[in-house]
Amino acid sequence: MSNFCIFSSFFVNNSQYVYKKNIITFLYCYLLSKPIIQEVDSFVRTLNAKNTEFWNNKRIEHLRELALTGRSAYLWEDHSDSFRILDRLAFSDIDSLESNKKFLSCRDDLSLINEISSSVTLAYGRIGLSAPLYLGDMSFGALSGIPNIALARASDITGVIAGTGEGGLNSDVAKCKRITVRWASARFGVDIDVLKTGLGIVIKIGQGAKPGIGGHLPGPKVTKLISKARRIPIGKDAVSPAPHHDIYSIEDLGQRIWALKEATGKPVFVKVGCTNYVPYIASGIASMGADGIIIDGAGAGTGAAPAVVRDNVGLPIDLAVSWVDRILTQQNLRQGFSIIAAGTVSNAEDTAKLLALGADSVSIGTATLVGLGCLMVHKCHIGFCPALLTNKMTDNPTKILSLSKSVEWTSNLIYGWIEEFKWILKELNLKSASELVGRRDLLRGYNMNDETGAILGVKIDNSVKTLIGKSPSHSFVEDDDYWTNILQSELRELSGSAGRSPGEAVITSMGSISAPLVDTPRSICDWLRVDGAQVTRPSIDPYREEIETSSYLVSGKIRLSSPIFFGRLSEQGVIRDIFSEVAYSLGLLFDSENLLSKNNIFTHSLIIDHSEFTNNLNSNISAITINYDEIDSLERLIDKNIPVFIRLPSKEKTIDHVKSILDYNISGFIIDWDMDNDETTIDLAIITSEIDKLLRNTKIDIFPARSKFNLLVEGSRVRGAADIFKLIGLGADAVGISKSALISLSYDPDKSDKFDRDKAHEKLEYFILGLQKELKLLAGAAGISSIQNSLTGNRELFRSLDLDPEIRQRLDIKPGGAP
Amino acid sequence: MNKFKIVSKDDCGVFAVLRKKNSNKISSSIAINGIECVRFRGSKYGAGFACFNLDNGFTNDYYLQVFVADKNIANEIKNILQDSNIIIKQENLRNISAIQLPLSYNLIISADNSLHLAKTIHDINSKFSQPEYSARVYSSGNYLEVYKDIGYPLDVAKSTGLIINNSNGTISKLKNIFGYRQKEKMGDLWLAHTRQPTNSPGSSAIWSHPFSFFNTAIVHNGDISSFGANINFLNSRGIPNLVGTDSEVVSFIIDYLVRVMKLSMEEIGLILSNPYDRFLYRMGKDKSKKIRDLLYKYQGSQLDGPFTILAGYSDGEDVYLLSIIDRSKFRPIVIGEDQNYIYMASEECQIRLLSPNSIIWTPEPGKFVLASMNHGIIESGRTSEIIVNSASKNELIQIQKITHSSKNMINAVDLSSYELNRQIKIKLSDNEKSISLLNVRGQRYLGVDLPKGTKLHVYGTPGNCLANFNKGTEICVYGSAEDNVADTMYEGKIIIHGDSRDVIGYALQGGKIFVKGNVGNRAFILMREYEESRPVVIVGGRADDYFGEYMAGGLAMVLGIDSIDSVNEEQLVGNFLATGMLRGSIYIRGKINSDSIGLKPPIQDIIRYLEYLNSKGIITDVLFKKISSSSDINLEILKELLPENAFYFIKKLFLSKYSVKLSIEYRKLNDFDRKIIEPNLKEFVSCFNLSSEIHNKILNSHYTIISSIDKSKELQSPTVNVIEE
Repeated sequence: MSNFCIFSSFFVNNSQYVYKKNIITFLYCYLLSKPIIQEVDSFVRTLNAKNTEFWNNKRIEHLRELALTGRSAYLWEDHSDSFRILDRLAFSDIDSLESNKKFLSCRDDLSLINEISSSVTLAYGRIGLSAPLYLGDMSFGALSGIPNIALARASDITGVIAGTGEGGLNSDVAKCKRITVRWASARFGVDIDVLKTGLGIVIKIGQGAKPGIGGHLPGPKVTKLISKARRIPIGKDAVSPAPHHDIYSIEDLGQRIWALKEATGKPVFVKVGCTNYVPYIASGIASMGADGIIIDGAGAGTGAAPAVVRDNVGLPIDLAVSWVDRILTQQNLRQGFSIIAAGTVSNAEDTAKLLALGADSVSIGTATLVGLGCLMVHKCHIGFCPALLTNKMTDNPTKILSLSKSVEWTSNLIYGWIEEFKWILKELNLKSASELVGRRDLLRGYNMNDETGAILGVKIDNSVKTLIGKSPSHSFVEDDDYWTNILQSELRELSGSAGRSPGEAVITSMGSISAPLVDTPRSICDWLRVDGAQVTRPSIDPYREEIETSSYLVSGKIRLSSPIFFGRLSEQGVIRDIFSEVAYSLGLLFDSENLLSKNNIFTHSLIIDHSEFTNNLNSNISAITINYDEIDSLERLIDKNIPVFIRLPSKEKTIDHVKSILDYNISGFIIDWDMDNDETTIDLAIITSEIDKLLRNTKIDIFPARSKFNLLVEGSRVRGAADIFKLIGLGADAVGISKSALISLSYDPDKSDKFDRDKAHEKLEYFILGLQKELKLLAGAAGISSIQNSLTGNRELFRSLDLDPEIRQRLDIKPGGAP
Repeated sequence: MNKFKIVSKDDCGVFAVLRKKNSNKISSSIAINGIECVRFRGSKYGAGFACFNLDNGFTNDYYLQVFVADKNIANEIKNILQDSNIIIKQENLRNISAIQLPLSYNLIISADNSLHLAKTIHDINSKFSQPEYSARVYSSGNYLEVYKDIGYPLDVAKSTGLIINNSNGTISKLKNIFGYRQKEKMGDLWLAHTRQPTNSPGSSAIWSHPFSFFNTAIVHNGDISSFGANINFLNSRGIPNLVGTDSEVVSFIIDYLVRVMKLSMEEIGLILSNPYDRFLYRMGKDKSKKIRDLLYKYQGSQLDGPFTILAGYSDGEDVYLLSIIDRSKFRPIVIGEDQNYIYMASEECQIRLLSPNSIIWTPEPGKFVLASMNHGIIESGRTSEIIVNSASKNELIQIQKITHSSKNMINAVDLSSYELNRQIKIKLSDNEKSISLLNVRGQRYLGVDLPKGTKLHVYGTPGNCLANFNKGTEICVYGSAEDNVADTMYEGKIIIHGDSRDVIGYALQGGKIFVKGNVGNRAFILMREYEESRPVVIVGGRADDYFGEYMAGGLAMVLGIDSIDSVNEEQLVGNFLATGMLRGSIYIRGKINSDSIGLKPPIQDIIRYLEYLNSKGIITDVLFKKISSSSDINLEILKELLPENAFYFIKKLFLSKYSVKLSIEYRKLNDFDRKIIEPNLKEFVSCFNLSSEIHNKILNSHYTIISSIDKSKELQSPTVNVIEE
């Protein structure tokens, strides 16, 4: 019974939440295995921070109620504390409190909604559905078999449709009628006969949780059964290629659509992640002859994804649907072509809003798993799911989910969902689901900026300030809140401190935690999303293809293996020696201020202060720095033939200071976020962008200043690969980190007696190699193969989410969702 | 309910033809035929042509072409030009078909210097771009005219006056084009494009290709992911006003580098193709430094993402044709050469149509191809000296002329992919088991979903997606096949007498593929075996990058028969061979540099780490020098030479959770190999009538043999621990 205590205490502590129907929880706890207890434990800890999981108790509770009863529970959930844009939209004519009250009083009188039709058709009328619900494509292997069958059977029972995912067609799933089959980049388990099964084919180009990254079934889950279904060796990670290697463009996609149609005659849908060009991608897909598009937004579920990608790549579905609908209508491609919206669709209310924004149907994946008992442990990739949904499949499993129960719960969930959806239609005075499609006029946006409203195509009502979508301020979030537990544990995972694979990108699964979609944004970088390359150009797979991280500085004199350097550290002593050694061994730089010690043989990787340099003129170092206010010292160094960087703080006045020294004979600038930190300090992202623009628009002789000066930026608040990637996109040549590196080592100066120098050295190397892999994943997802040449200053690869328009313009980043 | 109908849909197509010094000028009809032939790659949203002609009469003048909204705007432009001291010698205004900017204002002008003219053009373009485009200068060279509009290539040729309607006004069939123009337009170089827009609308011709500035014109197929960085590059160099497609930036970049920076076309080819830093060392220290300096100096001009670009340029003395291919060769391109002309095209069928006997080859990924009127091919785009493929030999052409009984024969000339596939199905329903297709010219999806036991003889150049999902059909191609042959094939046999282009045998799961010539990029990736089903592929020529990537079973061989007697041993495959390979075996004749196998850290990173180990005193100076000067540093060599602790430190650069350990051997075939190979090789040799002498040479050669060290078979199925209450 001890296991149950963990859960009950967690549920109670978390939000005065009383778990009404604890039967399912009971069941899970009974099945819990030892390794999981630790996982759940850490999960409970991380959840204690606020706003850290989209699938919070309120949403989970609602779905469980549907699954257990098969009846509608309530219509309008209060998510006024949510950052999600969809939660900041409401049907303007409806007072949710009143409406809920009314609903509760008459919910048993189903005759009131008898007349209302929830049915829709897809694929130019070729597929009819009882409700606008597509049960998301989760693969055989990612799920543990029983849930795959349950979803397919439930869709047959309820008259919706279920996607089967990439892992091949289980024979029991194949017996179901209302399924689609999947054509994905690794072609796992497909042949011509499989393609002819089901109502249609889904070409999976991308997914919302990781646009630009291929499917991934981790080695431990590739059991004998899976090996057979996918025809791959047991125990090896099944990593699907990031792009389809026959689809490098929208035209190639057309070729594949027609090859599949030629061979099967079935309707073909294309599933994409929601990214920068999604309106055009949708128009391309429609004009290439597909029957529909499934757009999977950021925050969608996944069985395994690099955390850095899940939390930074792609746009939320709500921002995309409206323009996709409008562009297709403008181009006369909308009639009959289906738009299926996916990603964090959690209830009938979301369904209604997405239809009003322009979708024909929604796709639900995570919600169905929640109905089957998913606890948001985020460890599907490990294969020990406490709810038995995503655990590894063996020949003789000790415990398996009950198929009949699973079918029942899933069908109940759908029935309940449909019932709620009908009540909502009734509240909106509509007779059928199709009448709701594209009715943006019914919606109002609350507490979002006008730009976002225009992208959504809805009116904004900012008179009600009940919601929290604040504009980002220039001021800092408090330090304790800045380095969240999740962030710290991810940094430690890179270095191997957390005991997992050192030097690898951190893998996570399910749910959605990223700022600003769920969590509080903590710096400007959090408002920026990275593009995911798909359809119009292929993403690049860093597991198989070359992505260059090396960067050259100072006219090619300095080569960095990654565009990273160690920024200034407040710590002294041995830890600094380790940083200088690793900077040397991995081909980076260390902005160390001084030579560290007389015996230091790794000075070649150092940037030191000019005063230190004048004391040690013969030292073999990479570069020196001069503070802006000491720029007169430059003259004394001019004949030394050593690169000089001017050090400046991250403040508005820095831009003028840079302007004033462009005719000096220097190699560039180091902008230090920590320097003279006071209330005039502003976010490093803004200064980076402004200086980059200044340098590009200023000519020295016939060349732009940008080609003469390097821009190095650093700060203890630069967290990891995503920040580095975004700052380079805003124009930095290299980004300095310091505190995150220390955190990755679990270094605590107060316990220095236990400090193991060699271990720390190794960890720091792994940390950098891990960051390098994460940078490669981000670059590959964005479809670029060279960070220095293609990313530096390439703002086209980024979009902002409901960011204050003034800041957005200073960054020169386009708003997400707009075409 | 909508009716389900298959139509032919597809990509951007590009085409270029350059004459050699002593050949005749090239007629417009050749350019039109060359691009109309792949009409199915484009759409009604735009097409265009650029004609370079050194003797076109504008040598001292500029030919300015401007799309304008109406006559008043044309007058305004005229005034601006005159106010800028530009002399207008001739002008005319003509209608085109586009809805927006429906007029083309063409002028012959004379200007003192190009920088001043460039500024005036930028001013005009910027003035008339707000709030929406009311004018756009789209051509401004001395030796160059551009014909572009919306519509398919033939429509555009008509609407821009490149061909003239015959009296009854009908233009329909491609083969009749020759008759339409009384006096054909002649040139030294033609570029042509048919467009399938991805990121911009197709209502105005300003988005149609070619894009041109001064004496540079380009056509492009792809989507450039470095776009934002390229725009920064141009803006910071004073080129402010762009119409906003990624393709356009390329014309401005090339013009800037050649006209303003005075770089050579070779240098431009090098910069834009952006060679991998890690392979530069192979070019030697001096050359690699030169390239690195160029890349650094022009950072932001490099192109990334998928692209094939054909660029024309003339300096008044010579006419250049440059083709730039992205690092991964994501877009198709073939180069052809005959006695008179040099061709560059998206598909082989375009070249074969115009010059059946030309030599045709594919450039390597990330390379550029450069040719000029006076010097012919300057850079072939291949490191190998042997670029002649087996498909271009006359024997193939002879086979094509064999007549067949009409009973089981379909003449594919003028049939669309859809019609041809329907006819095949009709023939099959007549109980035919073996069908011959004659004059196949790029038709797609052949052999998709045919009944088991069917035989298809294909004469000509079948288009993309041949034999996809094949489950038991035998297909023999007397010619070259194009991209994506035998995707997800389960069973059956494919015999290709010529070459095959990129991505052949993707996720191949059974059956046999024999290619006499070469295969392109990403051949046989994700090929896998299962129980008794074990795919076998033999390539008679050579292969490019990513061969056998993530291969999970089966047998793949590359023989290089054309160089089997060559004294200089050449590497038969490109880079990133067998990355992530999980199972199966690859046999490549000859020695493969281990740097080409799999994905390794850049050599500079390895040497830096060795330096560190050396400075720390973990390895000696002598050892450091020995390893770092070796031409081939790999994990095995490091393991052999380094002390245990040093190897432990450095190996973290190489290893990843996702990297796999491969066994790489270089040796002669042993009995075990022969047992697997011999029956298949016999079949291969008899398919192509190779001599027993060659057969023996193949068997007795040295091979690089790659297989995975797969320990996973010993792995026990893991069990779940469950706590019972």
